[in-house]
Parts: sequence; structure tokens; C-alpha cells
Amino acid sequence: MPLVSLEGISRLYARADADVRALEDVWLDLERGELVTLTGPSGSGKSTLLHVLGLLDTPTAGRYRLGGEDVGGLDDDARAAQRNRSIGFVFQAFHLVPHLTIAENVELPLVYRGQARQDRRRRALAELERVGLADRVAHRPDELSGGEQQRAAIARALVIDPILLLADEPTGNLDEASAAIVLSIFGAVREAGTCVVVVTHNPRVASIGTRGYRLDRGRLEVAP
Amino acid sequence: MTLRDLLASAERGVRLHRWRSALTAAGFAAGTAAAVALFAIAGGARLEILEQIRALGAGFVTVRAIGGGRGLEPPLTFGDAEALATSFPFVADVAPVAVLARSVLLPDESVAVRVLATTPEFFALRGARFERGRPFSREEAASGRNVCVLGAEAARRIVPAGAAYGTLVKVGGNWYRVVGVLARSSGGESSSSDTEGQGREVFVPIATVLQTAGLNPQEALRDEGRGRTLVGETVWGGASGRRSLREILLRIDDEVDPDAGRDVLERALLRRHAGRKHFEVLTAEDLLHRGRAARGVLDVLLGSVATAAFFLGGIAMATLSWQSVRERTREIAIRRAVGARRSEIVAQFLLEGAAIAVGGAAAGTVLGSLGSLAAARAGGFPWTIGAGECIVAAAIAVAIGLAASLHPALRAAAVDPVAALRFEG
Repeated sequence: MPLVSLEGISRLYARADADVRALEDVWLDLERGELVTLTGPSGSGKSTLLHVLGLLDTPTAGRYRLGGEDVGGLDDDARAAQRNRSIGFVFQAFHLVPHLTIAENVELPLVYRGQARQDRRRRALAELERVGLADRVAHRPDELSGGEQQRAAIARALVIDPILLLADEPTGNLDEASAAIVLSIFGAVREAGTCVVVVTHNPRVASIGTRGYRLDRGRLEVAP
Repeated sequence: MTLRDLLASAERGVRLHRWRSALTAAGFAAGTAAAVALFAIAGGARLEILEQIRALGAGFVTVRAIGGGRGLEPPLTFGDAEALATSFPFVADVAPVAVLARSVLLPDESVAVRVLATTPEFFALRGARFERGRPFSREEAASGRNVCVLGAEAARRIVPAGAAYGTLVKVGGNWYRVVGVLARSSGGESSSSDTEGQGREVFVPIATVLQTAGLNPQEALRDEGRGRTLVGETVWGGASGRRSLREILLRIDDEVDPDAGRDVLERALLRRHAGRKHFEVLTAEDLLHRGRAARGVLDVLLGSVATAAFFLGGIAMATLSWQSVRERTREIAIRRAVGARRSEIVAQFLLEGAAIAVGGAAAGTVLGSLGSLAAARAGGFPWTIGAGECIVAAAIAVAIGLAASLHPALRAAAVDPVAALRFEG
């Protein structure tokens, strides 16, 4: 059974002037230990697909199974719990909470698990060590470089041991060296058995995937 | 999310907008302080009223002059007092009270006090408590001894350093020895002093005053009843108001309903005054209602301040919460993305509001308690506050804080993470 199974997923945004079909009849199976890249022009539906996969958005048609469970019909609280349990996000703009320290940012998903403070801190420190930020735990996000912030964001995504890691243009704001570090972390995460989905415009990033897909006007096709 | 984490998160949120939070808390502090002060002063007034009821007893009745009579007719006379004492078997312990002078003389200064001439029964009727000494006795009064009793404030004015007891004061050219000093709020003040007096009375025996003027007290009292000028200009001076009685205190038997007794006495006095009502007859309960009405103005004032401050605090809280939610939309979306439920977002913002309100309420409780205590001490009015009242005032503040931040908190929970996180950078 695939880890992720999308069956005929569509996402329609109702607009006053004309409806926007962001995803149209998407079929996709993902397995553990895969690194799948999604490319496509702006507005092609890449981010929408990522949000549907991450249970931040709900499809208007189709079926979504995650780990064998039909998650399409979950209510808002259940989707939040599922995200907290299984899904890590990495964004182009890092999206760290500015008034929390790096360690507190990484702990954040565990806070919503109700995990004890000491356990959280131990897990957060382990993840920060893994991404090479052990000496930055007490800093605020604005005291870190872009590459460091992105690594902190990755540590936050990994702290829950996700089965699915979703990254939206993770190297879009980074220099070459930082981007290389981020991609090497993704490689290690994939090898550890997590399914990594990366949305990118960057051909070099797209080339590291075990599989590549392209979205065009909401339709998914295998990348050339 | 555990409660401890929620509280920690709320504390962070409050510190994030330190000054705005402090200003909002100040509004709640002002509201709570005014509410606590209101409770404290109202509670003190209640206690005082109960104390007065106890001291006076249910059968206490006072007949007060209200304004002067037409022409030379005095509003209340010794004849009235005599008539009330002799005509009604249920009336006991009648004590007429007349204003004798507005000041007393010390060796080198004149002190503004109210000199009242009355009988020894006055003190028992008013349930007076003595800080030092005793009331003048019937024997002293009957034998025309120059003795007097001082109200607490009068004692303080006449002998600022204390020890007024035993000293001599000069009233109308005669020296009187102080045989008693009343305690503060002792009930010994003239009952007409609910809004004046405040313990500034000097009490002298009526009989002594009359004897000093060369009149036989018994004869003088009776003669007046037949329309002759009582104490005349010889004792009370020329002003017509001073010839008359200020008030008549009396007690009616326990078996008689005070209201019924009052009505009977009022009708009798009306007959004596040809239907002209220059007086009012009040039972202990009537007096207490008046006391409450007088306090009511202060209660309304403090209540208005509390309401306005709470209202402003609520507006400030709503504004602060709205601003906070608007500025932290992305943070909310991040929290939602990593697994926060809507209810946890609501709880976070509600707790931030509650934390500010609680902080303000705590400060307001201390300020209100201490401020009203200081004001009560300075103004000489009673004060009492219990934990229950403080809790009620603080609970009002917290309820308003929660209500004001509820809508912003719900809006925070409704933030769409996809929309909030879409715009990168």
C-alpha cells in the first residue's frame, strides 16, 4: 500500500468572475523513502497540491489516503492532529515565529502534542544538532542567516519524525552553499525512510529527485 | 497543548506588546479600583447603618424642626416635648435638644462647634459610646451643675493635644467642666447631624442653662407650652430660630409598631401646630433610609467611574487584541500548520486578554483597597472590604477582558493558513 495515494483529486476555487481550477484529476502514489520533485510554471497548482498533501487545503473532488487512512473527510481538528503527527512543512520564506528562540520554534509542533517541556527540548536540540545549529538554540530568527533559518525550519519539520516532508521552494531564498546543505539534509531524510516532496523552479533541485512531476494548469504529468 | 504551555504562550503574547498591554491593563486597574472602592465604602456604610440600628434600637424616634415657623412661631418647642412625654403612655425617655451656641470660648480663641442643650436621657436614646468619662447625670442637670460632654471632633478641636476630659470650656459666658468625651461614630451626635455635625457638638444640660438664666426649669418648660416666650432672649438670644428646639428624641415601647407610633405622634404635633408641619417625625428605620440615600450619590459616582473605566478598558482590550491578531496572522498560520487546533488558537488569544485583565484587576484591587481606605480615614467615613468583594470586582474585569478579546480570538482561529502563508517573504 502506498504511503500517499491521491485518486482523481481536483481543487476548484470559486471566484466571482470565473472559477479557478487549481488541480484537475490528479492521480499520484508516493512511497516511503522517495524524494519527489514538482515543477511547473507559476500558477500551475504546485503549491495547491502541496497544501492538499499537507492537509492545509481540502480537495473539492477525489480521494486522499495517507498511510492507508482516508484523510479527505477529516474535520478541521483531526486534520490538525494528523499534520502534527505525520507531516512536516518547509517554506521558501522559512516562516519561523519571530519572537520565539530557534529552540522554541523547533519545539513548537511538540507543544501542540502536549509533550513535556524537557522531552521537547531534548528532541529539539537533537534536531538542531542534526542540521548543524546546536550553537544557535537561544538566538532569535532575525539573528540567523537565511540558510540557518531554513535549517531551523527543517529541524522544526523533522522534530515530529514525519512520514511526509513537504517543501515549497526550500532553496528559493538561499545562496548556493546554503541550498546545497538543505538538499543534503533532504537526501538524508529520504534515506531514513521519510517521503520528501519538493516544489521547485530550480532545475538543479529538480534533478535530485527519485521521481519528478510537472504540473501544468492543474494537471499532473511525469516530468520529462 | 498543556495549560502550562497556554499560560506561557499568553505571557509571551502580553510581553510582545508591553506598552499597549500595560495601558490596557491600566484601564482594567482603574475599573477594578473604582469597583473595589465602591464595595468598600458601600460595605462600610452598611456596617455603620447596622451599627446605628443596634445603637438606636427599633423604638427610637426623632422629631426634627424643618425650617423656621412663620413669624415668631417656633417650629418645635419645649411644650411639644412635654406634650409628647405626658400625653402618650407608650412614649418614654424624651430628650429635647436645642442649639445654644455656634462656638465655645477657650482662654485665647473661639472654636466653631455646635453647643446643644439637652437632658441626660439624650445619650441613652442615641446609644452614645464614650471614649472617656460619662454623660452628665440627672442630679448634675437638676442641680444646675456646669458640666458638659464633648463630641469626638469637638474634643479634638478644643484640646488638639487630647486630654479634653476634665478641662473647662466657656459657653455663653459660663465655664463648664468636661465630664465625658464621645467616641468617634459613637451615635452620640445629634440625629440631625447625619449630614452635618460630625462629632462637633458640645452638650450641656438644659436645666443648667435655664438656672443660669435665673429660670426654674420646670416652670420655664411649662410656661412655654402656654405660649409665653420660653427661655426668652435672656438665654438663647434674639434670633427666633434659637428660641426653638432643634429636635426632640424619644423612645416608644417595644410593643408599639414604630411606624404606627410615629404616625400618632405626628398627628398630635400637627394639632399642636394648627396643621402646619414645620417638623418631621422619623423612626430609626427612616433615618437609615436617609443615610442610604445620601450614600447613594457616592455609590452612583463610583459606580459610574467603574463602568466608564471598564468600558474604556474593554475597548482598549478589543483594539489590542485586533491589532495583535492582525500583526500575528502569519504566526497563527504557522501554528496551525504545525498542528494547532482552532480551539487552541482561541484559547491562546483569550488567555492573553485574560492575563492583561487579571494583571489590571490585581493592581486595581490593591489600589482600590488602599485608596479607599486612605480616603475613608481622611474623610472619617466607614470602610470595610472582604475577599468576596475583591473577587467580584476582579471577576468583572476578567469577564470584560475575555468578552473583549473573544471576537478577535475567534477571528484568529479562522485564519486560513494557506492564504496567510502563500505570500512569501
